[in-house]
Amino acid sequence: MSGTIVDPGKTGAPPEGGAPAPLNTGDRRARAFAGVSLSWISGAVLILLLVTPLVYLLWTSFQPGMLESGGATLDNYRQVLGNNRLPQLLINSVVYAVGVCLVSVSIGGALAWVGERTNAPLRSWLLTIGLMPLAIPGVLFTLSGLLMFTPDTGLVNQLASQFLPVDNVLNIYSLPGMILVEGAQASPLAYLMIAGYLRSVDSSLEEAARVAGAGVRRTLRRITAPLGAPTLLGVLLLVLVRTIESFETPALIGVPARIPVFTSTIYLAIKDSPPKFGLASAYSTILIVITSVGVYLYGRVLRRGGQYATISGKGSSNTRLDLGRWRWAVTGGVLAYACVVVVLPIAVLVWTSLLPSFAAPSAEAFGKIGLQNFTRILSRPDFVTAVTNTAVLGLSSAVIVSLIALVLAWLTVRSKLRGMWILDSIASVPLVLPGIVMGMAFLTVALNLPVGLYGTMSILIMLHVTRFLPYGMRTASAGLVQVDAELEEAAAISGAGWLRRMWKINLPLVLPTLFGGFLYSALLSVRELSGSIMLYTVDTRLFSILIFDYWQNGELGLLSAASVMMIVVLLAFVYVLKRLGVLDGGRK
Amino acid sequence: MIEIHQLRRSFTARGEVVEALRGIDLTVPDAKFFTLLGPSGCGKTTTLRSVAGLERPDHGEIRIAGQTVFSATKRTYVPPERRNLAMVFQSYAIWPHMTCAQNISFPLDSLPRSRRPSSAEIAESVVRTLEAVKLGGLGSRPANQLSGGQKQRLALARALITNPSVLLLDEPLSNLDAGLRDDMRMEIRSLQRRLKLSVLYVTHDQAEALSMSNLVAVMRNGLVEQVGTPREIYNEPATSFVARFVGSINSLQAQPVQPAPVAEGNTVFDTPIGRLTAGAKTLWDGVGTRQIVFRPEQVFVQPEAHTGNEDDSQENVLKATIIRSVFYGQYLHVEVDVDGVTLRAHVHPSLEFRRGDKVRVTIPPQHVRVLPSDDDLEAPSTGATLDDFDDDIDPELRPA
Ligand SMILES: Nc1ncnc2c1ncn2[C@@H]1O[C@H](COP(=O)(O)OP(=O)(O)OP(=O)(O)O)[C@@H](O)[C@H]1O
Ligand SMILES: [Mg+2]
Repeated sequence: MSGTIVDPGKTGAPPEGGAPAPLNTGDRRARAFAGVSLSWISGAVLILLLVTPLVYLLWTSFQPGMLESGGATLDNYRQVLGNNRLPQLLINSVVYAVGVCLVSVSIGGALAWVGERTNAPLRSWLLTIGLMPLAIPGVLFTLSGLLMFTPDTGLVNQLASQFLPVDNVLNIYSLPGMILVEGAQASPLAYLMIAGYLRSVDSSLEEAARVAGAGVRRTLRRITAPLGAPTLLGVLLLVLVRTIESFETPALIGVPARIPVFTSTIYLAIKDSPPKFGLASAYSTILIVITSVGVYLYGRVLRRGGQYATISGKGSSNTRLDLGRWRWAVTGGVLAYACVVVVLPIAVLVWTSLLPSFAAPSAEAFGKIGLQNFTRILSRPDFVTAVTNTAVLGLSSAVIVSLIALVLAWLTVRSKLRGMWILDSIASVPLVLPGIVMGMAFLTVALNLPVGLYGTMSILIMLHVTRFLPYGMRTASAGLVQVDAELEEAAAISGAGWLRRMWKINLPLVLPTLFGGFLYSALLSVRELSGSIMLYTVDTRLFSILIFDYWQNGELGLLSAASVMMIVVLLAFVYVLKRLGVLDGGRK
Repeated sequence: MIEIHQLRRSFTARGEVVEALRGIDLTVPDAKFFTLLGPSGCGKTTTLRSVAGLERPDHGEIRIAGQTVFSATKRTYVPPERRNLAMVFQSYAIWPHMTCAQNISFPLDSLPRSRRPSSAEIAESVVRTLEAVKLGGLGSRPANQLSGGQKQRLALARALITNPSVLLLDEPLSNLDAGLRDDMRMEIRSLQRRLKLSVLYVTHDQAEALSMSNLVAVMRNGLVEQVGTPREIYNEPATSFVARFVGSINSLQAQPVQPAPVAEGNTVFDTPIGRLTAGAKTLWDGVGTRQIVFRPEQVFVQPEAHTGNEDDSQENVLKATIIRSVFYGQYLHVEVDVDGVTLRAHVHPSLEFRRGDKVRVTIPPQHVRVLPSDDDLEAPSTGATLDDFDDDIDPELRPA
């Protein structure tokens, strides 16, 4: 009877004699593939990518200086704890991290709510606006901040002092300066996660509250917020950890301002000559312990969040709050925000790129405007190589991250295998690892493993995949949790094996969420500086490293020209994705 | 044929162990409609999912068509995609990212290449199946734009397209409105007959169970309480739980009268409303306290005047006062007071009573059943417990 098709319309056409189809119990290969073996393969991949470098890192932290030899020693840890600036270091780190959290979650949350749940005009642009800071790589964002707010010479400070009774609007070389710059940069992460949540939660839950007599604010407080509390807490923790790990702002602003946090301390230890790898590793280990706590909490929050499966096979569409008279005011606020964090930094970079030397706008400066910086940089081979490398690295690592993440998410969310949380925990470890530390760990691997990884793109791809896997994991498992398991079960009943279920059912259904993760890791990869800076060679120089070098050499013109071109390319990239409809979460 | 032997399954949720199945034994004969009926949380879904292979029991064995698909001792477990079953989920589990046609053709597309029909054949059978479930012409419609009833039909079509011999359904009608539900009941039933499907059907709706099934298994707390035809379940409930869950009953604490004044296999009991004779096949072994139960529709109520001259010595005739009567159209629901105990009766709708009317209540002994007394019954001091599950029961289901 196999292959015959029932015709429910024809009367009395039973399967031959009612004989049941033979069970298809063969095909061991396919069975072996799902479940158990899959978890072993994933485990092996994770160990290769992650555990090896970590072992090297830990080993290094117990080694004396590079050139000395000898057995294991605790000297490095003694040196860290004996440092009398340690309390100041801790206070700086905490204030900085908490401040960034508050700034970014307020911004991201507000944008997400306006975009997903209100009828504010132009809201279809919100995703673009919310993600825009991502299109500006972190180095550039921080640098444009410096160009604007350096005391006395910064463009904004110079202009403002002509009209306002203050000398400097903002001294960027301060903790508030660092917090604002970094907070604006972290807001897209908060925006993405909160918007994703708001988009997927069934708004009939909110409507039910409205019908039950609760007002807008009460509904927000009693329904939307509690349902979203796990998401929100997760966002906070993620931003917190990300800030503790951040490198660009502490290195570019914190170091000259003498406001050390952990990452910049590690950087300085490595920049010392001879490099103090042991000391840096010891600092890293302590930092890992601190961030581990945050990630442990995050994991608990996520597990609790998994209780509500909010997308079901029945499907739902969301309704929006009518803002009434406030519609345009809200949109105005959003646009003002966009001006400050997107237009202004770009404008400053464009302005600088057009001048032979840095100057505030004036009649004289306008006279010197020209494209000489652009012609200069385009003829530089280091620029072309850096751009190519960056593109290859970003795309390949994001694809690999998404695929691995989906498999891991399936193992932890869906397979009923025991102990899968271990895989999840291992894959989350990079969250607690500052990029600069991971870069160094991979460097020790590249130098010690005799397989010729040093100076290749492969080692950079491995670094980026490992670093950004947790972000992919988060989106993939958040996406999978939201998809009713019965949808996959129905496919299993229909005879679809594991691969087919993943490809035909799970992947398309999590794609909107997963794509957010893909995009995010690609953009993170393009922006990434702190890890790659340990691994690059002349051939594998990346864009962010190039910019960093230019800044160190005071080449402001070249730096701005390169930045402007990079931003144009990234914005075009974002625009194309939006046209494809992928940015709208796959919904039309 | 599905054979389930000693199935056990427990879940650990937040450190607490829930025994969902505590030793289920069931046999679903070929080409029969078999229903699992029971209250929420009794383990119906877990049983069904174990048959489907979506759940792995801790203990026991499952055979489908003579082949072992699960055995705890032999460590056999055939995954769902190789059990050749069809299933309709309560949530329908319609894939929202596909069109209707893609949803239906998925099981055919999933067949191994050697058994897969050509794409032309698949397309043709998709069209035919869509028409068979009255969704003709909707093939290219995105599946998430369908109404609830349409999704339900689509789920059914998807289950049937591979010509399965076993169909599992988990409360497939619970999300539909009443009218649609009645239509779908009949449709599913006639499909089952026509295609000679072995159906395992899960519901907590007794009317659905009685009207559709060849066999009903009433479940409670992870155990099967009784298996039988709908008539057996309704007329000869094995426990008062079954009696109360399927239909509504009057139930009274009863004490056998010793020596029993027995007439032809009947037993006489002392109850809070006097002596009653039980004549139906009883499950009583002659020891301990029991309860006697009878259904409201088996209670006759007549105005006092009609029977005024007859003497009270007749069996199971009681004097009573009307407390309330409610007209339901198909029948008249009457509550009467007998010695401080409230009894319910469903009588012919042409009768009319007023509050306070003196009446005579007759309970024919052949309709009185004796059951083991049940701890779950409410306070025995009232003497009677009344449960009303029957507001939407089909009139023809009720034995006259
Ligand atoms: N995955 C699970 N984890 C923990 N407990 C579970 C799980 N699945 C079922 N249970 C528990 O097992 C018991 C039986 O559940 P089951 O879903 O089989 O009930 P049901 O008879 O289908 O009820 P309903 O009519 O409400 O669908 C319930 O107490 C339920 O809470
Ligand atoms: Mg159920």
